[in-house]
Amino acid sequence: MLKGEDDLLPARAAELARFAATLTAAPWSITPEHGARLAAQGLGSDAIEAATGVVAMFNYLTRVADASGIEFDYVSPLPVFQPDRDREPVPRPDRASWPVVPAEHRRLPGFLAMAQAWRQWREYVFDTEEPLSRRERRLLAAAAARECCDRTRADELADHTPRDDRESLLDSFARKLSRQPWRMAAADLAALRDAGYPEPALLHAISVVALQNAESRLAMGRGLTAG
Amino acid sequence: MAWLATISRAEAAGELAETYAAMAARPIPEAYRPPHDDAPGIIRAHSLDAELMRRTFAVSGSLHRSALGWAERELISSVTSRTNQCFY
Repeated sequence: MLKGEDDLLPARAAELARFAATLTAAPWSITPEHGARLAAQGLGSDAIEAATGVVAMFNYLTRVADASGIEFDYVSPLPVFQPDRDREPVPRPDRASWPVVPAEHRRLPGFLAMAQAWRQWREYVFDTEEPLSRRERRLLAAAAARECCDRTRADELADHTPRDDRESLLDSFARKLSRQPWRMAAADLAALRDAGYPEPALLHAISVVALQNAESRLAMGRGLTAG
Repeated sequence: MAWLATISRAEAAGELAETYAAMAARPIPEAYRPPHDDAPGIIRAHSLDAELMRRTFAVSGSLHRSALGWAERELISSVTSRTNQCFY
């Protein structure tokens, strides 16, 4: 299955797993040391980028799953996973110590197929006007970027802070879905519904927050592993 | 039942029905075929917007053509889900 690299599997797999867990739970703490350890396991920059892409995508998909309340629908011989809903998130550092990801590392992925697909995805999610306005999308993305301690993106969206109760509701939704997706409940969507957001707007709210979580990790995974 | 409204494959019409059909035609491992006739929940969660569904899963599809093999991608996605305390 692993085409002759079985002897590398344990250490390489362990390093990939460590990287995925850190980039998911505390993306601001990724350092060039993570990149060096992955490189020592034979993973080149294209493989690190691919690993980062998978982590980013699953930070999107898990948030969509958690916020939408879909049910598990695959057959598995493994025991049913019971999430620990009381788990505390990793404390966020002070803003002053949020890492800066250089602009050259905020480009879209180096492999063409993903870069094209990602660009089309982000344009649609962050820039369309319906069923959420651009301002509402930026408010959601700003809150998510701050939860990721993604200084560059948070600074870019710094003007987007809540101006009224309705916008505060979006901000709270984005913060919870970013920081503790495992705590999401039906009431979180119901609150947005009660504030007048139609059902497609709820899907877009989830998508904006989930995509910012993915994109911040994409930038930090690539940028902060580089020496 | 999901908290967000969704449209099943059987109820879908027009652009959504076409998108569901295109997604069902993609090669996927047997383990990822749900034991029901509908689309997997994570795809159905995007069913209020066929365009969003198409653009989202174009990205996840592109990951299959990256520098990592299937087993390592599965490992990374499993660790990511577990770290987020998510069943998906």
